Amino acid sequence: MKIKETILEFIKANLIISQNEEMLSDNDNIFELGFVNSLFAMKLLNYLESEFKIVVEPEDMDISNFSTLTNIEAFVKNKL
Amino acid sequence: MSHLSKQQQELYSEFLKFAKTNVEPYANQWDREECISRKIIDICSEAGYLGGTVPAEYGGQGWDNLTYGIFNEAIGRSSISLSGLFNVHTMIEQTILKWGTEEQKQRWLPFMAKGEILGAFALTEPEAGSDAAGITTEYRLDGDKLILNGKKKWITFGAIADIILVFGKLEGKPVACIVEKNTPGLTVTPVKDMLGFRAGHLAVLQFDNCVVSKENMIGKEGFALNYIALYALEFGRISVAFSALGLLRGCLEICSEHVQKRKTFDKRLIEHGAIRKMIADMGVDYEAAKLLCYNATIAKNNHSPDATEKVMIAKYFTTMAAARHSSNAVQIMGAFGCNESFAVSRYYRDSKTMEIIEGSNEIHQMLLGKSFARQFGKVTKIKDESN
Repeated sequence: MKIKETILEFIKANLIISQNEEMLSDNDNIFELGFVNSLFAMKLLNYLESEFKIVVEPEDMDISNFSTLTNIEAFVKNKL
Repeated sequence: MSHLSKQQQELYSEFLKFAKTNVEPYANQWDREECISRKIIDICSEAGYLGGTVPAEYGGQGWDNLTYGIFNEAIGRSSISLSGLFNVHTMIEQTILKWGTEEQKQRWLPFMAKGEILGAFALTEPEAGSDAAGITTEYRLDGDKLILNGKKKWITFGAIADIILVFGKLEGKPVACIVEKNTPGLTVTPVKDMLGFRAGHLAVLQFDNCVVSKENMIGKEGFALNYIALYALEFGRISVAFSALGLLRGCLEICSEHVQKRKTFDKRLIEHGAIRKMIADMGVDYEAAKLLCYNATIAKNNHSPDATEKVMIAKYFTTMAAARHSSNAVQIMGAFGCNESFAVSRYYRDSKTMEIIEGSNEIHQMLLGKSFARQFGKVTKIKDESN
């Protein structure tokens, strides 16, 4: 499975509750859409580190890195 | 004990022996005096316990999360107040380790690991607890310095900490900086008369135009609440969950001995059905809580995405069980349970506090309730679609 699809599956499993929200597109900002709560923020961090065997460093803490599917994919690819 | 490796079993025995010798005999006295003694902190430092989870390269023991957990269980069995020290100190160490620069790690971690510098975590304010986004403590940029103003309250070990991780807002963005205790403008006032954690050196911290170096900021602006605080609190929840497990074990040990010795109406207490039920429920919940705690820390060791939820589940269940069964323990012990010279009355007061700290159990209900509904709601939807 490609990186973006893998991340989308994770987001669907952990973030989305209604059918309307499943229409998430690649460039939707999940923070602005109000999809993120504190539990998800930590789960996403753990998920990215464990799934892709990367370490999220202090300098990676830029909101844009985690705001959209496209950006998360780019961030992961850059770390690999 | 099968979940523990041979090394962890040996360490657990060491921790229990340490607590029985150095902590348990003094715990009631510390509680009455509302003060953990400096002597026990020094003894813990010499044993290397203040650096338990710190990697060896920074002078620590390099414990994994489960080992840190069973350490807290052993300490919590004897003194919940003392477990609070390891709770907050480890939160700061782990925060620096994860989000700090190499310079920050070198500057603080080796000294924290040796117990030469004690850390405290300052998020809560008089008007902002569970709703952390409501904090009003403010950092203002002044050249290459930050000017800090605000007030923090109920800060565990804040009265004796050498460094404090202080959360506030800089131009509206959440930030967290290390503030040293001798910073001019910082006033520390001990908080007394607590219900639980009475010996935990709680304090009010008042910051009046404190000058803080920008180099003391941990992580980037804007991430202090969603990542830094939550990352730290996860370690706090591990400590609270396992300490509550230790408290539960303490109730079980004390009550089990009592009900086999004490007689009423020519029968030992254990022969009475009502008493036997209380002991059975206590034991079953101890076993269940232990599995949840072990499961959570193993998930965290593995960097599992669901580790955060599992830690919350362990904290939620174990603290509720501790509160319920410490109440029953007082009932079983009768007058002994109502006297401050016996551990059970201290357990009763401490356990209530544990349902409130590191995310109240109601916050856990909000987050876990939604998470479970999402998780199991999807199963229902798939079934509907197949019909």
